[in-house]
Amino acid sequence: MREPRLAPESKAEEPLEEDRPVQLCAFRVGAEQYAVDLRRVDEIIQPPQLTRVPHAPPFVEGVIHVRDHVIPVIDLRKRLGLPPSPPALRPKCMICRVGREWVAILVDGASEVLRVAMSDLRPVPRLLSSPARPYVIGVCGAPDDLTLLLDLKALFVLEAPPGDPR
Amino acid sequence: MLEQFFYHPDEEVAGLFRPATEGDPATLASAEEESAIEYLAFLLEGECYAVPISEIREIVRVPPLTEIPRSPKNLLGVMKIRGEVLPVYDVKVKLKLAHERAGIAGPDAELEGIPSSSRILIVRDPDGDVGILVDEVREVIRLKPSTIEPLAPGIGGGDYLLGLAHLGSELVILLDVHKALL
Amino acid sequence: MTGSSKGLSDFVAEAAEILDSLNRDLAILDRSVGRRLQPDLLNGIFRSAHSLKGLASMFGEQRIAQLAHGMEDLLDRLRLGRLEMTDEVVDALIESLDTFQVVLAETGRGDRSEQASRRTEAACERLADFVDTAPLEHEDALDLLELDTQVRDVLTEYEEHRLRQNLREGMEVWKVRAVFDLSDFDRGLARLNANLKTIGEVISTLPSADPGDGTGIAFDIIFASRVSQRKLRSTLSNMPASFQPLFQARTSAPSSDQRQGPAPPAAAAELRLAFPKPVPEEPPRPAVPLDADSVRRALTQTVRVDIGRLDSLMDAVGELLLIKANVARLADEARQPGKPSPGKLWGHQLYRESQLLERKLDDLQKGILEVRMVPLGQILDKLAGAVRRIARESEKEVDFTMRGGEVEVDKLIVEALSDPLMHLVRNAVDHGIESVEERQRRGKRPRALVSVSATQRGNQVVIDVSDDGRGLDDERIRQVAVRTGIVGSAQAAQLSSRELHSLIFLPGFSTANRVSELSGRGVGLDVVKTNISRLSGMIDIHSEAGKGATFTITLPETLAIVRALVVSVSGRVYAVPLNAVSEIASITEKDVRTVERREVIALRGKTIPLARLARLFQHPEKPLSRQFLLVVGLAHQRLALAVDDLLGQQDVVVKPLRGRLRHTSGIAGATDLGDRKPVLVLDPGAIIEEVVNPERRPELV
Repeated sequence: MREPRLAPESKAEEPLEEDRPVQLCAFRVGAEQYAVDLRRVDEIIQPPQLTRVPHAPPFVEGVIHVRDHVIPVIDLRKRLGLPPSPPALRPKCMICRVGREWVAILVDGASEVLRVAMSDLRPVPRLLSSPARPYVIGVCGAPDDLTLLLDLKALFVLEAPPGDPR
Repeated sequence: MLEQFFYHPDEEVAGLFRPATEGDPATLASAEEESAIEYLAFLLEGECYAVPISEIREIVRVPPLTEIPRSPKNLLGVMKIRGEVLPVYDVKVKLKLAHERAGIAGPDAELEGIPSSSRILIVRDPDGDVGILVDEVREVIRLKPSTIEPLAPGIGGGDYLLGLAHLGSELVILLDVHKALL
Repeated sequence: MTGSSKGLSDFVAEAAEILDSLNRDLAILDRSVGRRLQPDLLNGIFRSAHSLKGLASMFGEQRIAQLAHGMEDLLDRLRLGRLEMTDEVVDALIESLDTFQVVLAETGRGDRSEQASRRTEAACERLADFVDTAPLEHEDALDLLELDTQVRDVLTEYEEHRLRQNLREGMEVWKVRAVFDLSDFDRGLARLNANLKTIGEVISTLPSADPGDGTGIAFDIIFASRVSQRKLRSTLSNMPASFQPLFQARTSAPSSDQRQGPAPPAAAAELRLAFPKPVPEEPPRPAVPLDADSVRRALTQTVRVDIGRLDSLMDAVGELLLIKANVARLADEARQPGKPSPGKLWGHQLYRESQLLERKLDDLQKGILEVRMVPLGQILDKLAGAVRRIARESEKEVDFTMRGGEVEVDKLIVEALSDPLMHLVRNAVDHGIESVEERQRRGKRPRALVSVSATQRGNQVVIDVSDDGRGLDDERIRQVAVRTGIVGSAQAAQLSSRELHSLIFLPGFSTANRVSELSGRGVGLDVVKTNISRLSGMIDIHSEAGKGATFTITLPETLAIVRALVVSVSGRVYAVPLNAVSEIASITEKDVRTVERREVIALRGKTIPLARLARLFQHPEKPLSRQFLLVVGLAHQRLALAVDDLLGQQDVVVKPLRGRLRHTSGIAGATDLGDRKPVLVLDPGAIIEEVVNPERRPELV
């Protein structure tokens, strides 16, 4: 459901650009729903055997071996500072592209494809409180049913961005 | 602002994927046009070695090994992987990092004798894939060929060391794993 | 001789259908003269002629049958490239078609005219004229492929021709490997072939000798195409297939090739061929000589399979799927929430399914093994040719007989036997058989006889190579043995004839300058013995001086599955092929004696050498009060192997050690006993060799 938009100020946005359809891959982590650009997502699989890699940054759970590539894996719950998931819940492993690399993130599951328009994507409201805040780059959807747009690239940056409690 | 969110094949990727060493702007500039090669870095007796990742078929935990009687000193034994029987070598012997192979096959084997982080890298080889035992697997690094330093005489290595690279303050030794098996 | 009227109308209807399809195909053919022919087209016409011939013969329609036969002959030559397609040839084919129509119309009416008969004869003659012309000579400077018999075993003559043809036209040849699920491989394969046919020609589809993971059925498809590697990859992108070039060029292309593109990566050299008369669409390209060996090696990894065998495998799979369904159902029943724990009845049902499963898996396994079996006749034929050639070269008169060509043996064994048998036969003719004059002087038949015979004995195959030549000269063997220090002179005097004969398998007897000393025997026999040993087989010789000699080779029928005795030695587990073990006994330390410091044991009156496996393999020895002995070997070369414990017997699949581990002495391969570790399988022949002839230390891997 679209909220009424404030009239844009000086910036002249092309009407076409606003309504460009956008496809998002949405998934749950903890109580929140997140999304990434669908074009980033290559595959969603059951987590394969993880090889721990010491000397890797602490949020890197390990590496997995998929289709001839060795890919680092991040547990999104951990990275976002959430408590660990209940044991009954089996995480899914999403294999995503970042540039010419691949990374994998462990999510709680239930992913779906959301089709929205470019204009439905909004900047992060200042009052949004969420442990994931540093990695959320935008939102979309109704205030009581927000989908947080994840900045996947930022997840993999070694230095914690400013404002991150860790 | 939302640019970051959307996927571009050429987007900037900082963080986990470290580029090679800093150098002067001139070499950096020329290095830009080359494409970097991905290597898998691993530890042997505290030294960091690397092998092109295209040569690595798989990484597995160390399974029980069957020793081969009267075999050469760097052959640890054979392992079973999905029905295939592969030889497993201890390259430390050739690299003179150890005097004899690890005692991990046979009934008196002490799997506790090796670090729990040990893994076996399964390496592709035209003569049949082989496994090599390493102390620890590190990460995938990308190196541009022009940033690789050839070995100075006196550093040793014979024909099985291909060069040195610098990763931050760390020294990475590039290994020709096939020659290290002989 | 026409059948009842119902039969006649059926015949006419069927024949008319075939003629319709012939009509369509010949129309296309007519338009294609001078252009590259679609092989499927000629095949289609060939098949039509063949079907028509069969149909007509059944109904006693001799005229049609005869003409169809003539057409078949002509088309065979066309598709094998022995005859060139010209307008005249097409005319003759069309005339034949017209003749068919006329004769068929007559037959349908119940008529039979002189005119039609004469027309049929004329048409037959016209076809025969083409068939009789000299075969087309190919004037290519590079007639590259001497595809030898091993390749012919895999490819039919027609497929071989297609392979050559494609290579001549500069196509690349790939081996596409695809693995399909057992339950629908026919559909998957059909789909893959259909995809491939859109971008090239499928030359042959062969079940793969390399089963890979074992959860599906694997095929190797020999495929020729002009498309780029990338296009092939994208065509195959949704299929369970991988591909590689079939050949490696032997030498690198000359420098003019550099302009054609970046150097190919080391692993995938591409093949470029050039001919003085370029094929119309292709400009001439620089030539790369083709290594006949690599062709042979590339193709002999495949095996040709009888469709009947595949069918019965499919049946077994079908039944397995049923059992699987039953087991799943039983499991489901047990898992139902709220149900009481499963009782005896359920247990009984499960047990029954597991029995069935065992039987069916057994059948399946046997079936798969059978697929790998090929008749020995393949090599026997080659031997006949070799004998004739060698006899001619050495100006001797030799008759060759062979028996047992139908005996079947695992394909890997057949290939490995080829060299040793060739060796033995060459030895027999070169050195065993006397010249015609000498034979006459000795009152023997001037024509000597070399014979090879194979028989099946239980799960072993016995091959005898005999000749009626000079036989072995005991005295000479004794002399050479003493001179080379293999035995002391006192010992030599005591050796029996049989024991002397076994010495010829030692390397010391194989050097060239010893050849004449031993009346010719002994060239390379140690190699023969080693090769046979690698197959878990044994070789023996029986000879009478002046009368001849017979080499007897005993082999397990299949390398793949072997009944083995599982033993433990110093805490390690090994498997010993049971076919090598003639006796098992248990002994205490007291029973061991020594002769010249070598340990021996007395068994039922005979004293035989003893070897402790632990000591041999350099394992720490355990002091045991009681040990077990496995007696391995043949009559005069026996050895008692001492092991710590006998753990049981079981059928195992032996995987030979490959790559760097190939030459491990004393070990034939590895197998899986269900544990996480592989278990090594011993090579009793090599162990006997090592112990009985201690001068030969094992080579280290």
